[in-house]
Amino acid sequence: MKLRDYIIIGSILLIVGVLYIWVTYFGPESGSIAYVYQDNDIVIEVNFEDDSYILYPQIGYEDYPMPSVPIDGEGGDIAFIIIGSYVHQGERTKVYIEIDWDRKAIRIQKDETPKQIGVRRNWYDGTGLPAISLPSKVFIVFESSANNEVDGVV
Amino acid sequence: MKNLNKITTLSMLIAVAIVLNVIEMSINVIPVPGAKIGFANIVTVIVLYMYGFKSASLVTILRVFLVGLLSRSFTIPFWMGLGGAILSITMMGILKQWFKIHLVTVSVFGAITHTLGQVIVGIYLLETDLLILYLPLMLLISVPAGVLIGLIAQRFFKTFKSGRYEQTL
Repeated sequence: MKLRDYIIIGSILLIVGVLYIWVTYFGPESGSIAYVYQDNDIVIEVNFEDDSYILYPQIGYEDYPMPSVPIDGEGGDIAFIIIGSYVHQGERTKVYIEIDWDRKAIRIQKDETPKQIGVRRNWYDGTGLPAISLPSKVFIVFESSANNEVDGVV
Repeated sequence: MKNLNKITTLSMLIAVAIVLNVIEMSINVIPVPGAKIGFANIVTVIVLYMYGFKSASLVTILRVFLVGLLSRSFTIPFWMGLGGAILSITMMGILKQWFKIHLVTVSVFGAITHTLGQVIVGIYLLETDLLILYLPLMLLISVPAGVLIGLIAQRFFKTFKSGRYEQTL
């Protein structure tokens, strides 16, 4: 390798490092309302200001989001099951969403996709890397105020 | 006969790439959606320098489709992988052809464009720019991954000098 190659690789690493620090420490400010999206539709809206939530029935699966049980000892207060986009053995897999009021955080507790490729199940409070499941087309976004006019059930 | 030799070698290399890809899929070491070292790209880099851009593109795209078939998974991660692979091989082909830079540097650019391609396809399919938040970390991982893959490919050529490889190592 020539000096030029070292300079190119070093410069790229430097730029990427600065970008990483910038996004990590000076990234977008999070709000207090979490929206759980499935296939670009909001299915759960969680308001951490007054610890309330709104469920939006999924198209074709009106019983979902369905209440579920949080995992013992991991901080979750309430959990819901939603239907993801991934089809396994002829059925669409389920995604378990868990909410922790004290931590003001939400996570993908469990995702039934077999290989878990592209699934991040960390607690997410609007900062850092978002919780996401690519195969199930589920992701969570924090915003500062209600941004939708969809009818939902509390 | 020469053509038969090439087809046989490419077939074996595709098989190696598929095995590497499948092994890596089952060992999810990086806690970032869609992020991996990309050991299967060692084969892409090797084929690019042995047989050129056309063969490398064929091997890469075939590998992505065959792994998709094997895992019976044509969901978002598959399309992200395909988008990343196409962008990556295109960038590496251009750099190898038009710029006199080292194999390792080409590999680094390949890894970076693979990540960019993945994120672009992911944003398009998910219809959310949320994945941009993953980009800096994925890029940070892809630079050393590209160096590692380039060094392994370089080692391969040093060990098995084929005579067809004319780049300066």
